[in-house]
Amino acid sequence: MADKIGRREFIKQSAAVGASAVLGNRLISSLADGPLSALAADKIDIAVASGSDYAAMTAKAVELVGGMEKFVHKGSKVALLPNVQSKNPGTFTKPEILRSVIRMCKKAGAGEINCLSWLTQQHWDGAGLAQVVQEEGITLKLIPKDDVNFKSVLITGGNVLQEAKILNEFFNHDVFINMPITKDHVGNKFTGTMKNLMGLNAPSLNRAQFHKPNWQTDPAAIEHLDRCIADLNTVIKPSLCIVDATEIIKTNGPMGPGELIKPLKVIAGVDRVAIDSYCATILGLKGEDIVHIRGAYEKKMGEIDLKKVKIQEIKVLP
Amino acid sequence: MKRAWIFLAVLGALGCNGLGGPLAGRQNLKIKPFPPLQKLEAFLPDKGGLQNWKAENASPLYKGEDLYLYIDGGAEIYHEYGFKQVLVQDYKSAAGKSLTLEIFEMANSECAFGIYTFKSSGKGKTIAVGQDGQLEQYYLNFWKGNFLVTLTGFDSSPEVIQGLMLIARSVDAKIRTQGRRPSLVEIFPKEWLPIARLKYIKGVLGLNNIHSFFGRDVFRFREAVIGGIHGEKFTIFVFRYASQEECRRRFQEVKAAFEKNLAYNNFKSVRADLFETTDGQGMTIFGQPIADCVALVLTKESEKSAAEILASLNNNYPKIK
Repeated sequence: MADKIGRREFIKQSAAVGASAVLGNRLISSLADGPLSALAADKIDIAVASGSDYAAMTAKAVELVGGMEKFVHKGSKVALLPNVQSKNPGTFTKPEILRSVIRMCKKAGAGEINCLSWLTQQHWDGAGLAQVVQEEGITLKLIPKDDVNFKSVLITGGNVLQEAKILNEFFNHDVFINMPITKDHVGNKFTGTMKNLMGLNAPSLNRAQFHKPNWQTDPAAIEHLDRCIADLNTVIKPSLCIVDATEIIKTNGPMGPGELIKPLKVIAGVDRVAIDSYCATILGLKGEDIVHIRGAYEKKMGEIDLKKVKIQEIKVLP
Repeated sequence: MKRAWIFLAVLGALGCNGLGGPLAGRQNLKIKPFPPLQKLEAFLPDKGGLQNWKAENASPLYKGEDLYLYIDGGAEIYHEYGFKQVLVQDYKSAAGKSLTLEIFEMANSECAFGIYTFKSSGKGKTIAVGQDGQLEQYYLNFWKGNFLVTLTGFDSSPEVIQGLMLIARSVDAKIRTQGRRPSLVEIFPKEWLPIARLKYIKGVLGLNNIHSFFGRDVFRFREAVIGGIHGEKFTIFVFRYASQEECRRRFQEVKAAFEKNLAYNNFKSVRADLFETTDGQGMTIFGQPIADCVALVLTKESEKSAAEILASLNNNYPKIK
């Protein structure tokens, strides 16, 4: 069910954010509480499932990092953030992956599951994700882009960004599952878990603060965008990341159309730096090549060196 | 003083950015007015010629900075190529297949050609549509005049490919202008590679997307052409400047940047107008000025073969108008 929240209703809801933020604050991270601290040393950091059945691969990858019950407790309010930026092949999170995640959340006893987005119904229809939302009986919360629908969050550990503006609705949840597709990006060369969080941040801020005025394209402006992404990630901590690397574009990203490659992988884990560093290799890059991955590593948000990351790769047979 | 008045009058007539300003109405100065934006709707296929395809939804038009509303992430590269506006139209077939047509108006035909080369992989099938039409896995691109036309299907079924071709031909027929490729492209001998595999670059974002030499803008070029030849054994970069004088200055800056940057080793100034160095992947880079251009050849092949490439570029330079 698509639930378009009006400005007036949201002002009312914003007043309630103070109370619900007690729960929501679990999703707001501090640097001391980095993702690696959540993982015991003997556990798998990243699970990579490959094959052709995307739903089964998603389920297997999540199982290998501890199962959905580890992240979603009974009665939890779960926020999902798939990528629906474009409907071109290889640019959005596959419907089968979203469906699998929703079913796992339900099985784990989630009290409420919502997809959050400031994009439009057309985006969700185009990617085929609106249909999944409807068929699975969860809610798609399409939130208007007005600043009133976003809550200011101070960034104390940032290099270039002093403030993030996060969807008010986000704070009404206590579990956040980040579900990007990894793909090329014409500016910073890579899209993954960390870049996807711009989908929770106010578009006005994404435009005015992340991008330099007049669409400057010099390396400093691109590096600024990367630094903003790393800074944004210091204040939002996904409970779990599930990355679509099944069919992705390796040129003309993030919107496409571009050259489609089929790594046929789904990746799950908590450490965003390690996951993005791994996904960069799928695109023929290294984590160190990407400024925001390097920046997040420097902020001790995760491990960039894949030799130090426990990765389990598994083939899921159809 | 007189010069200053002329300068102000010219600025006024152009509206500084050429879009019209308070003095824009003055016609006494013979300055070509900035061309008004085209009515892109006029290039949409007629309903009668769509066979089993039908236009769906409205056809939104995004101008200038509003491109961000359509391409949320990645709009910058279009701006680097002088983006003016884009018209978007969706189509659906009787069998429920979808495709999207985008008609981009760019600042001039060089820019349209440039963004076309940027978006094309060069691995597609050459088709007789527009200028340099290329059909790729599930989409096609062509440029014509100062327009880039992109059609995207959402799978590669025969029905979708037929739809792409049908609509592409229709748009092609409605765009009556022809564009001229940038003359710099002529520096590459024709036998080296097909035109769609060249990249014509207008700025540093395009360059960095293809190859990142430095973390800052060292080359400061006006235009550039890039191509991989002989099975990608050689990658050639030709950066062009406003004058030979500027080129000489930039060549020294580029040379110094390679010499000082820790990412490069074994720097050697072979002659005053030739240097070589090695990058982190073990690729040797040869650099040489050619009139108002700086050419770089990246290769693991011998110095002699790189010298032959540079000689070919030198020989072809007079073809640049």
